[in-house]
Amino acid sequence: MTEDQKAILAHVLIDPEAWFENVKEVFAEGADSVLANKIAKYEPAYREALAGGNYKTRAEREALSPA
Amino acid sequence: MPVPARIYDLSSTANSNSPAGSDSIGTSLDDYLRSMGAIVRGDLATKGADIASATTTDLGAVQGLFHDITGTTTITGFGTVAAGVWKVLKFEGAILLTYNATSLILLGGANRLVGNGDIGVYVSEGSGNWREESFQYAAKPGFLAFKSSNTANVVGAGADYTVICDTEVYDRGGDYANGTGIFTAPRTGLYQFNCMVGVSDLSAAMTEYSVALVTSNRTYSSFFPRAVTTSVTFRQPASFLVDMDAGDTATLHINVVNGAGNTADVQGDGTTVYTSFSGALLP
Repeated sequence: MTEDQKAILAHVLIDPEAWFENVKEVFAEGADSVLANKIAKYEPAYREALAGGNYKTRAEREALSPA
Repeated sequence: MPVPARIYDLSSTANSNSPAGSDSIGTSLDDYLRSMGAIVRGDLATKGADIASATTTDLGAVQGLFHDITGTTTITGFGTVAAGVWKVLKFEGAILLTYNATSLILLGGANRLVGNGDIGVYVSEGSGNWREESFQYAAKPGFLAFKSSNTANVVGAGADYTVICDTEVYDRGGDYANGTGIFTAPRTGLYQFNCMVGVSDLSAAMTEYSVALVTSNRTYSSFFPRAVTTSVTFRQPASFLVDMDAGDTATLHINVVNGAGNTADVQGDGTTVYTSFSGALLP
């Protein structure tokens, strides 16, 4: 994964690297297609949130919210 | 006066096809007749050669009605061929089909991640534009597993416990890992999960608990007060309808709070199902 891909996934996932490790184990040679599918789905929302300023990843957002 | 070789060389207007009435046939009549036979059989009733997935996967370049699509390269188009040509495709791996409202119109109006054995029917609208007419997944994901034995002293004072249902009743597609309790979604879609968690050896101080489904995109948590704290056991069902993307995971969790220690057990049994986890992709 590129740093940009990790950043996009961090918009929706707590741990992008753990997610992709499981994808690689389960999907083997199809892992890149699964990654491309996830990136394509969430990149617009990530770019929009980033452009809005004061951006926070999902993990950062959840750390701020009350349990 | 060329002899046609592919169905695209033919016209639906009779007078536009060869040979014309004014053409001198000579010894070529058999060539026309045999070519027509080859076209009908080759383009309408033949499994053509496999086609490797590519950004533009040129379906028209390969004769046949039915093809296996190999590789895992993302596809954004199927190439240019005459309007009205049909292709039936069986995908042999995880391939992302990129939706486009003009050039690659997919059912559902969104990208489609296909998997091994999935079959789609596509029709050319000409000018490099294709429309998906039908799509069938090879297998509908679904699983049911239960916990076959008790796990002692794991909940009660706020410890989050990941429930591992180690015995599978069924697991179409092998998407549930009974060693870790992790379900990995093979497709993007809506999934219905049904759970039951049994807990025993409860103390009166353990007054509240939650059953949660933790998915990659979000956590769904239900919360329950214990109405009868003199009972040392409860069995709590829960169900969740969730959206998942291909590759996302789901795990079942139980958390009991307010006890002096994590001294309560998560129930399991080899014959009677006390704790179970099941899920399926909705149509």
